[in-house]
Amino acid sequence: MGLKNYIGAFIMTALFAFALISFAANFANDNNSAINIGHDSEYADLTTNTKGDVDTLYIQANISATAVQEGTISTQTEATQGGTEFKVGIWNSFDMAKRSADIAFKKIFGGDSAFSIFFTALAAFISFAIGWFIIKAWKGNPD
Amino acid sequence: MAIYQEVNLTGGMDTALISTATSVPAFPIMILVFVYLTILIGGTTSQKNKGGNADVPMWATLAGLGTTMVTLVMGLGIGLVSLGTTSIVIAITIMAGFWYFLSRGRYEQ
Repeated sequence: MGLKNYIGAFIMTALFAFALISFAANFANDNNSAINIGHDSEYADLTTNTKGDVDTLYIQANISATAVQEGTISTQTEATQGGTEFKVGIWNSFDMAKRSADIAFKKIFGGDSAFSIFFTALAAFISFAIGWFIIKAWKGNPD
Repeated sequence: MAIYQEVNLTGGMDTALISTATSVPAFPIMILVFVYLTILIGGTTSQKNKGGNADVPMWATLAGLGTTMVTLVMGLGIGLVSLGTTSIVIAITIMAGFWYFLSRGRYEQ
């Protein structure tokens, strides 16, 4: 397993945990259940912390993506200087896709942060994976 | 002396379940263990018979999700399961999910 697989596994686990706990708590709230996991302070803390982790990941993924976008590399045996083939229009396409998906998501889920956290984390991870593939194609296997 | 109080079977399935759970507090937990193991063992065995290999992490996660659903339903009304039991079931499901996501190889879907 490479770094991408490990990071993907951790992010998916965080999203899975957040989804499961949120579902259990909301199911109990909606049905006036006698047993409500949302009343457990430790799980409430876990949900809050997971949300914070995903927010941090989003910020860091943006910083990494910007670094890839603005980065250059000197000519080497098997690398092209500047890597311009990866920069022509592709970042505008990302922004366009992100805004389009953002609108669709807000229309579907109403822009609730509890739902948008999934889109945020997935978009951040996909950006990271694409950046990783670019580095791989550009410089060689980083694993 | 009886081992446990006799269950009232004349009030329907719900009353029987509640009566049994009142007499034997471990009863709902045993049901949850039964559901989990049925999905896990049934799924892995069936998959192994068909394809030769069993995806145990996937079936562990599916069993956890199925058990979680049963647990949530059992928490309705008077609540056959405790908050601790619900928390443990969800924690086991999250652990199984972690195992599942880590078990995905590069060429697997």
